Amino acid sequence: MGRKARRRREKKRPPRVAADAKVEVSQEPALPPRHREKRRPTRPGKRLHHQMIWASVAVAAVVATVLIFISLAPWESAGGTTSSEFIVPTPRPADIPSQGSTLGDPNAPLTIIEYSDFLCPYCRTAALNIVPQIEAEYVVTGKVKLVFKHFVVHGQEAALAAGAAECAGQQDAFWLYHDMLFLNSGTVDFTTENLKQFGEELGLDTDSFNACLDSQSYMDKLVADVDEARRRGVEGTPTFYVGQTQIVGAKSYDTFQTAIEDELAKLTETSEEG
Amino acid sequence: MADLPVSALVRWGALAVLAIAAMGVSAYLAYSHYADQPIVCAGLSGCDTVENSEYSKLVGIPVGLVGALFSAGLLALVLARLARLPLAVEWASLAAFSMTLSGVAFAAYLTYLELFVIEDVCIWCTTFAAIVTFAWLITLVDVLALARE
Repeated sequence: MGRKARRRREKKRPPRVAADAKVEVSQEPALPPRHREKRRPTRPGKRLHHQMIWASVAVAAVVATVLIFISLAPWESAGGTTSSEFIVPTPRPADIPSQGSTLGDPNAPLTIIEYSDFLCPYCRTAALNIVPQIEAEYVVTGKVKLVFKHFVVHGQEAALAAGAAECAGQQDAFWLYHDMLFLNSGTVDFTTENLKQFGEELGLDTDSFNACLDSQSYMDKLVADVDEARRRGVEGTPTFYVGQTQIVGAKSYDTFQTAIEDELAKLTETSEEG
Repeated sequence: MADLPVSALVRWGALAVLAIAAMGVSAYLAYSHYADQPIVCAGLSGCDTVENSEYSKLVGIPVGLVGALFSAGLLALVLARLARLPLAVEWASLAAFSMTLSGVAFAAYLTYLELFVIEDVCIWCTTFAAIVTFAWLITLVDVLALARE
């Protein structure tokens, strides 16, 4: 091909441009301004500036700070008090006998043994919601006696609380102290100082109570209870033995009621056969 | 999804999965609170201690429920973005970024409480914190990608 012919062909060709620019020129329809405005939202990030990112960081910081402040603010639930005060239980009627960690008539036909820990949340649920119903229906009527035994799983603080309850038990105030511990569990640290204050609030003989707590004379009882629980196959708290029926966890009152009625029925059958 | 490149679609899809996972975890915590059931805790003992601590509620609302509402909000945002709702197309990236960042900050605070104040760790809470952190990283990538455009 001659030079002249090549020059003529090149003159006819359109000028070379970048491929993408060509697409933009050839494919972008000439939209009226109104339509261009409408299409803008479909190109996210076009207007996303660094200032907006920093503004969203600031919003996040404010939200997180507010949440943290709210979580730190004391919140009074129904019937509760703030963490700086103790909740003091109402004493049981004097006609419910108690001896040490046993509540109810010592000659009651059925025994419920509870293996529990004063720092275990579900033990707290059981102690505050289920045990009072059992007391009202079966302990007061002399059908059942409750025996509290320690299965300490929440460490030193729980062991100290268990020991304090045993010390209160020496003054026949085990169950009152038991209530005090569970009412304040989760809101008050079970330090020696607080446990001694509990004793004072409950009107115990503080000299002997404090001496008991300091001497740790309760330790043998705790070890014996935990060993017994392990021998019986207790694996968690709370574990109840309603006669021979084992109930693990803070089950509903209906579950307990059924077990109690079944065990009482068995006892009645046995005595009739005898 | 004409306005969403494949990489962005993957990011929003992953966010949806993480939001659902976070919702599952926190809904379980909320359920165990209201049903008064012990938390299955992978053989560890910390879940109940953490769940019953004084820090487990915000003005009386269990943190698990707060987490579930947060996750539901994030999922709604992701779905709105995927459905190309105009407002979401404009703002979802920044909103998700801001939302997950506040979630990460609050989860970090709760993790600090678990480790140094309550001195017990709840595996479900840690899982939730990890999910929110992943979600935040995805939104960070998304926001930075948009900022570069």
